[in-house]
Amino acid sequence: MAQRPVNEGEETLMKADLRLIEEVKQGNQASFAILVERHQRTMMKAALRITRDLTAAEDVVQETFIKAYQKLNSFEGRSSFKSWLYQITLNTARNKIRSYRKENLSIEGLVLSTEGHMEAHLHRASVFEMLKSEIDGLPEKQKQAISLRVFDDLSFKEISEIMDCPYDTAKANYRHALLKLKSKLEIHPEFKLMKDKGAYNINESRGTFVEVES
Amino acid sequence: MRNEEENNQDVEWAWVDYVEGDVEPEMKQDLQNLLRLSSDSREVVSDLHWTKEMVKSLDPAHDEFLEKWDAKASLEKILKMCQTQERPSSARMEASGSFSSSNDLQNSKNLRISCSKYSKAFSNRS
Repeated sequence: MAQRPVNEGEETLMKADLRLIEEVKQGNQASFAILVERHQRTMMKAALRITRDLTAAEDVVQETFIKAYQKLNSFEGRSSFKSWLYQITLNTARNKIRSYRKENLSIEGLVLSTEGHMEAHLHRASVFEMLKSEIDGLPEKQKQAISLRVFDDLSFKEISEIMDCPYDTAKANYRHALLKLKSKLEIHPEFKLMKDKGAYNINESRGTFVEVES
Repeated sequence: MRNEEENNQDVEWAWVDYVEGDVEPEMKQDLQNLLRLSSDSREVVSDLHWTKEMVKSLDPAHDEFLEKWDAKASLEKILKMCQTQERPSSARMEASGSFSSSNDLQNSKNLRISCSKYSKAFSNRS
């Protein structure tokens, strides 16, 4: 199966990251600041998807960059710096969740703390509730693959680097997840209804369905 | 001997790859032909698109949520904490031979320009 080539923009960014890493090793702190600036938002999103809590995600991102700084020597450049950071972020976030659990802090509480109008909309739409629960119920690797692909729009090459698995495995996890979710949606009466009406589109934000003028 | 289930899985996987734009050109042509001929295939592709869009809309890390986050303060905190850490040593790194791409990087004029632009921006800010 064809692997999507790394596009020119991505390649330039990857090379620029490597250059900056070299500069950091020469003692240039400003270069590290640029690296943080470039990647902190993406890592914040990745952390949020696991912790579902802004403060916890912020802690994760800070810890991630400090670890990255400390371990810069162990970065071998086999994967992109972004993929490497992702790995650290995901591991740190998972550890954070574990420690929250140990402290008897309810994960449900963390989820609720993110509530806003998004949650309100979701509760109104049973199809989204079902989908959310199906995503939560996916095996960890499938969940990770779908999150990295759909939320972060990463290539399968990047996903395989982050998940530390072969390209085909990353892709297989994604296919299984997407097909599983599709099969659950297909039998949901509301999904069928939405599709039958045809002239509906998913609002970019928060899973609200809006009518599209034809 | 492949059974029907395996064949069905191959077909389903091919549609996922098609939706992801990750198929060989020949296969892509075959799938496009199939799409023209078969309403079932069109239904599958449409369902996959819908599924993806709906999953996307459930992203817990949506932008409105991140508006509450002070990225600048976070950056400053990270840099302050890093100042107390031992800085990475290039000597050790080079000894391990793990940074093989450094020669390539030196040849990249564009990259140098891009990096100096970033460094300059950072100096101005601080």
